[in-house]
Amino acid sequence: MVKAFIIMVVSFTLLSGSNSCLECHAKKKISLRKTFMEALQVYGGEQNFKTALFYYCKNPAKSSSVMGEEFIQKHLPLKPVALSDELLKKLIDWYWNSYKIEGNLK
Amino acid sequence: MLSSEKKSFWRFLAIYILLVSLVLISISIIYYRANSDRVELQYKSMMQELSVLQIKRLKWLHNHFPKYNKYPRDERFNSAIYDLEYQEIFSTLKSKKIDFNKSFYFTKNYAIYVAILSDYYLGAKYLFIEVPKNSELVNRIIRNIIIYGTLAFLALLLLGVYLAKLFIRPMQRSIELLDNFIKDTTHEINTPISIINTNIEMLKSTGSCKKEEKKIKRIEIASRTLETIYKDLKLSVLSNESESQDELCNIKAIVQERLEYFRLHIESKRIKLQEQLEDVELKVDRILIERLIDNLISNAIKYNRVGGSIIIRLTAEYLLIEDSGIGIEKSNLNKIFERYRRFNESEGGFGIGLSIVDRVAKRYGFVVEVESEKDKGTKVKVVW
Ligand code: HEC
Repeated sequence: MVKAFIIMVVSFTLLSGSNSCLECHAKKKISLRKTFMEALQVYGGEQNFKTALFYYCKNPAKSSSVMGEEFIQKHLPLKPVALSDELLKKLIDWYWNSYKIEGNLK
Repeated sequence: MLSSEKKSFWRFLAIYILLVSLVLISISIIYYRANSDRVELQYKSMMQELSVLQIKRLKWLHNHFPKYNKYPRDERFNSAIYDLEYQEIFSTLKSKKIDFNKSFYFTKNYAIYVAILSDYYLGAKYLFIEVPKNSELVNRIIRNIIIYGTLAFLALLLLGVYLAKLFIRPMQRSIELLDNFIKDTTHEINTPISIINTNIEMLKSTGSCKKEEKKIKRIEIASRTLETIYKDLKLSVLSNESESQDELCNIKAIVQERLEYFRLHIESKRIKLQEQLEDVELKVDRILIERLIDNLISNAIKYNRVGGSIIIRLTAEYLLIEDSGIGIEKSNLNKIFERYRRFNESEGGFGIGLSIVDRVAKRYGFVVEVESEKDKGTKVKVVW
């Protein structure tokens, strides 16, 4: 149920053209896949990933980024993502579900 | 071997075997442990190498996902990756149950190695490597234990038997000494007895001492007792040196003759004698059968009470001698045929009478059945 609901919300936001992750990352030419893989390598499990990323989006910092030094340097200064907690959570859920490894290996 | 010797022998051997088994089992366990540790170590290092290899492949896949999404497989092993929340990401393991708390363990058919990744490639923290267990290695250890264990056990068993024999040798020596002593004495007794006997006969035939008849009778009884003892001893100790000669013997005649021989004994104890004798002929050595019958009769007299009774029945099947004497305790029944075994210290004797009975019976295949009740009497049946 919850999953279906999330997907609905996500597709709605996607359809309504308001997936800020995609938009902004596309603008900045930062591959969401790449950031996902970097984050996954550091955060490991699903819950850990989600809470850690949620916190990072709100308080981005050079010292806590999963990305390399060089990469971060190009994107300074870091600004918190300006989204409501609720929407941010939903988007992060969407992010996990669309990029996760589990179920996508053969 | 006498039963006391036998007992000591087996007791010694039992303790010895127990100790030997304990030692062997301990050694086997130590050997097994040492070897299985070695085997485990071999597995561990081999599987650790495999895990390093697999981690490299995971890293590569991590960097090329999702362009490549085929989980790296290897025919040498199965593997699985789990994230730090113990969620399965991908698995080719055959084992159903997995354990996150051990770095290495065996299941029934597999050895499993658990590697922990510091970089969570593909989100994996735990990497399980599974290889089929080579039971040959363990089997070889067990086979070695069984083969060398039994060999060692057998060798030690032989040693044990040898030691047990050494252990009872002093006992056997003392029996030998007793045998030799009796042998020597027996040689010396013969002549005096013959002299006494001839002189008694002479005294009786001349009739010169009518007044002393009673005393002469007592001397005669004593001398006959001595004579039977002499004959028993001779047979018992010197038997191996004389060949026996079997001939057709009239048993009834022998029984009657022996009864006559013991007549004075019987009368002196006022024992009622009841005879039922059939004519029986057997092909046996006369001296041996005489000793057999003698011993049974003299026991029946010796262990009887004054005024008691003796029943003697001779048939074609058996010879039965029943007395109303002191009887034998049940627990001792199986030992009565042993040499130098006496159950009644008040009566004299060397304890060889029944051993002679037994030997003669065994020689001719007679079966000796003894029934006895303490203070009631004893029934001895010799079945031809
Ligand atoms: C306003 C633009 C913007 C929006 C909106 C945005 N991002 Fe980002 N994101 C960035 C920039 C710029 C970086 C690189 C700097 C950095 O890594 O902090 C980044 C980095 C990341 C990283 C790497 C984090 C790290 O530890 O360095 C992740 C993961 C990520 N974004 C995910 C998301 C997700 C998921 C969303 C949607 C909820 C999102 N972003 C929305 C601009 C944005």
